[in-house]
Amino acid sequence: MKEMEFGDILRRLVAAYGPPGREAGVAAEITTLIRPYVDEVTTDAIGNVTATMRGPGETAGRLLLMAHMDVPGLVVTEITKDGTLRLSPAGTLNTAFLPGLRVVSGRGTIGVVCLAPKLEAKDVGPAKMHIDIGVESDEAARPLVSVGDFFVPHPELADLQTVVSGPALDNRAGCAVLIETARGLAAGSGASNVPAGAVATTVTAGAGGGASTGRPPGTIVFAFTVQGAIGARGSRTVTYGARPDLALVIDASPVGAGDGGRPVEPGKGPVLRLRDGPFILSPALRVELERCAEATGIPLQYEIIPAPGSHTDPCGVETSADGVRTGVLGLAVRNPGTASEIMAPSDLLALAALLRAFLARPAGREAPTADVGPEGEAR
Amino acid sequence: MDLVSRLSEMTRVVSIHKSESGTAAILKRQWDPFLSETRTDTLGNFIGLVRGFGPEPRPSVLAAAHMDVVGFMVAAVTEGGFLRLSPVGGPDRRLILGQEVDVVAEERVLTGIVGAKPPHLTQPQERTRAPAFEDLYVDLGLPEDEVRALVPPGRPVLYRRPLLALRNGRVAGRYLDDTAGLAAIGVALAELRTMSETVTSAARADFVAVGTAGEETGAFPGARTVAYELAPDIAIAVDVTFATYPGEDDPTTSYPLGEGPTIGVGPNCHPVLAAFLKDTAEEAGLPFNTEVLPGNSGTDAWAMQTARGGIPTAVLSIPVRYMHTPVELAAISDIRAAGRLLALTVARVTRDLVLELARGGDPEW
Amino acid sequence: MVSEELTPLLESLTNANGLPGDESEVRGILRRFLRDQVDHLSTDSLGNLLCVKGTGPVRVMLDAHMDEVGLMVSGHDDSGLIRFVECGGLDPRVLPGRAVSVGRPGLPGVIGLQAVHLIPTDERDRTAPVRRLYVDIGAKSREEAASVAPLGTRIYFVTRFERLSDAVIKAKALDDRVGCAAAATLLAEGDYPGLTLIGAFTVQEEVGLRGAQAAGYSHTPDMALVLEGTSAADVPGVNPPDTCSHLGRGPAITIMDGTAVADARLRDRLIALADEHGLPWQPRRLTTAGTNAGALFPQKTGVPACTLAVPCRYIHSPASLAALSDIEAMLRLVRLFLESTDRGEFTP
Repeated sequence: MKEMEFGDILRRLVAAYGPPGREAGVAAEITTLIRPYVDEVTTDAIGNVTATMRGPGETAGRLLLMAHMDVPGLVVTEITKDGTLRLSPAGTLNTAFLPGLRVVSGRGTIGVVCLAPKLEAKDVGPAKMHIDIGVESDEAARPLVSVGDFFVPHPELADLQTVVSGPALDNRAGCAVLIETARGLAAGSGASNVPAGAVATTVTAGAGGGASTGRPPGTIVFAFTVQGAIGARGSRTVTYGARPDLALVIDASPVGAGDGGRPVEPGKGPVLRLRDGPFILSPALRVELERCAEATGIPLQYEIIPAPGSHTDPCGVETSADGVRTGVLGLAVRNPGTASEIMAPSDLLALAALLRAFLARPAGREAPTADVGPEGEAR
Repeated sequence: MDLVSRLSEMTRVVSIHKSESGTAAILKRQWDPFLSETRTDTLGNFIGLVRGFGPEPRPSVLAAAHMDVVGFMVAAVTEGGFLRLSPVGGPDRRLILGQEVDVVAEERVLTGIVGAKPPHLTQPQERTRAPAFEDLYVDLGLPEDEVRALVPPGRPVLYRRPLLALRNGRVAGRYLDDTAGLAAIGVALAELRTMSETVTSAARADFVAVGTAGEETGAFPGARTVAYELAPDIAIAVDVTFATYPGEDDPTTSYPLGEGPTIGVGPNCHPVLAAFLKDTAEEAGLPFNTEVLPGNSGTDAWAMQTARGGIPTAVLSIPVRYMHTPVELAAISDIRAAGRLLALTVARVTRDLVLELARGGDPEW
Repeated sequence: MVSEELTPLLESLTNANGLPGDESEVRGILRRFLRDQVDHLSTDSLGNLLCVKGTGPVRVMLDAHMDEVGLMVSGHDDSGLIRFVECGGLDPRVLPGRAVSVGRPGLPGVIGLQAVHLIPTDERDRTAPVRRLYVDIGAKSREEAASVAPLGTRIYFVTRFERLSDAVIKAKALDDRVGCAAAATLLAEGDYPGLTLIGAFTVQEEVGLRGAQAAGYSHTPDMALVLEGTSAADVPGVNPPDTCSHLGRGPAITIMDGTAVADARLRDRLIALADEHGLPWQPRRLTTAGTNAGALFPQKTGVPACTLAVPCRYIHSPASLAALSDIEAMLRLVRLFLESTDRGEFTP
């Protein structure tokens, strides 16, 4: 296999079909893409893909890097007599962007999201929309679609100067970053399973390209998880199986979702999530990640997502079994939940470089350093 | 050190989730004389063990009170050097305006005032509404560049309020939720020590005293993981509940101060264990009330109950007035009674009880 | 025809009482029914009844929850009236004017409401909030009420099982005693050398899918079928897409709900079997609310799970309706699935 450009990896991931619970297509694509760089790729009973890269040091610890691979979609709940499809959202899609959207199902049926007549987009929810697949009866629809089929936005990725735009960047971009990280680590190690030419054509990161790479001593598990678009599902079970010493979740960071006055922006570097609903980043892990970013010259943005009460991916990961040190790194995205999500590839490459540097860092993986908490004497 | 001093010491250091290490340090100091072993785990739970006696394996009783409190984290520094806040847990928005706060910077604790647009610039209807968090800020009285250097986003912000000793053995201050529970576990530890010196018995359960992390986030991360990790035979959440006062006098949801702790009943509370706690209290002449919890108890017991293949849980709560405000108020006698009840419970637990609990208390098993 | 055993079992199960955390009566009926039919039977600390039958290599769990929604005593007033809170999600419109049973074995009581003549006109068209309602058991003092119905006592609806016609039954708690009856019947009759069949009769589903979390952890299967009763809103005033399911059109197979997407392979397999054998089935049109599939799915390294449900009108109210043909079809479909999996035609 010829070594691919990073852009091609992202393009192939965006194009792969995989709404929540129906990830087999994207799982196969990810397996193909990451297999050259790792020792083993497996798919578990509920569809999570895990790729393992074993380091030379048996006792050097286990690190889990994860990204959910599913994308939000529309599920068909009824085929009406006139052949139109009733729909219900699976995962968070921005309703205002739905009317007129071209969508495609797992079996390749193409449709268009239509609005009930005389309604404007601002007035409607999914109940007032349907999918038109161009047939005029339920009989004619039946060979093309079944109740329970999932439609996703028709995948197209556009290059716009410094950014890319398309559906599914949340969180296929995260998946691409993991594959790029694996590729970088494999290339740095000169391992025999790297295809010829890989080293020569490996894309170096736009920022912090000077990060020292090299095959880390410990075991790295790259996990691509199911049903992340509808909550903490596959991430929790993958963590249980992997029993890591530390887990890093890669996710999209919607512009404007956070608390406070300074929103994240595409192109300004990876996002360090300080809080994700009930999950709060530990001060010690924060310092480790910040130091790593500083040493590699990668700028970080900060994000605080309040979302009270919701059980987010990092919360499920952190509370797996007897607890796992967990962090979340994000990729700033504009227009989240639409077919025109916008991200900066420079952020993706910078995050991959940061991950490589973090994995290759000499110390700090063993015992957590003491939390930088208040000791009270100051008061 | 007396109970009020111990409580006061704890309320001075408590913080939001992931900054619980200060509290863990105080617990280690206060509880260490009674403990056989101590440690802190991955999520920051403080775990202390009092070894029982008699043949192994002994029954184990875990008591959990949470170390984290409701508060805020710094969300951003605005132009001019003001701090925007992100609430953690459920702080009461109605009373935050004008409060003095502790802003926990890297090296020291800064004092701030919570401000909003002044009244003469607000519309009449704005004045009758609790301000939104987006409209509130903390003023540190420092220049912007200094604030940016000292207070990065994510740092904890807490109400500033030392514990006040009121009349009739009542105390008020910040974060009795759940330092009152931690203090009760402290009482239990001392009681167990006294009992082992004065009472001779052939066997006693192991007691695990835990300060949990993250309860106020609503996801109970510390309790969930510590229960999985230790898999105790019995897990008791020691938390606070609503005390009665004017405007909060519904007898179905609030309990009088000074009438002892409440013992929870409902799905989150193992029926046999709840009855055992009540029997223990009655036998010892300790006061208590029954608290009806029809669903999520909102305590660490909710997560502990479904850890692994299920753990028998109880909810023991200390009535507190003005919950989630800087002036939470409790009766010392309730804290003491909760602690004594906990100790007596540990002392009475038998292998037979543990077996009965493990099969759901089902007579037909 | 619904198998001879199922109808009497369903009758005794729906006449029994079991609120979240208080499922012992239902558990007792199931235990007596299954005692000699399975290899191993136990109750865990939460009160889940767990049965294991066979030692085959493929572990299949049938989950059904034992609890129903109802009320709990939360206070007593000076005149001997009982205050209560809801336990599980109830429609408060159905409470006033209802006869109830308080505690176990059960004191009769009624939920009264201030006479309509005595309230202001503008309040007459409003539903009475639960905090304004009382249960009256005839007690004359606080002490009397508290002594016979202490705090935490469960309060149950008193609807009796009845056959409204050859086709339709009426009972309370069909969600999910219908699942309990089906799972117990399948366990009792089943003999599958290729399977380890696990019956998980779970507690506290109605307050947050609680029992299934523990059962899924302690008895982790290779796959799980959640047998449920689901809402059927095929009634006047409801648009066809909002009906969720229809009475009499066969079991409703979940696509996704608020807690999980049904396992694609399991769901496809069930549908293929139904179609192959001419059994009626319908998609569950609602994609929200939760079932134990959401609690089983994330246990340990993950459990493929799918929910299939008997359509029931008026679930979460004192009386619900179900079609016997739907119960029969669900029973036959799950039986076909177990037989086929036993033959190795479907692997986890």
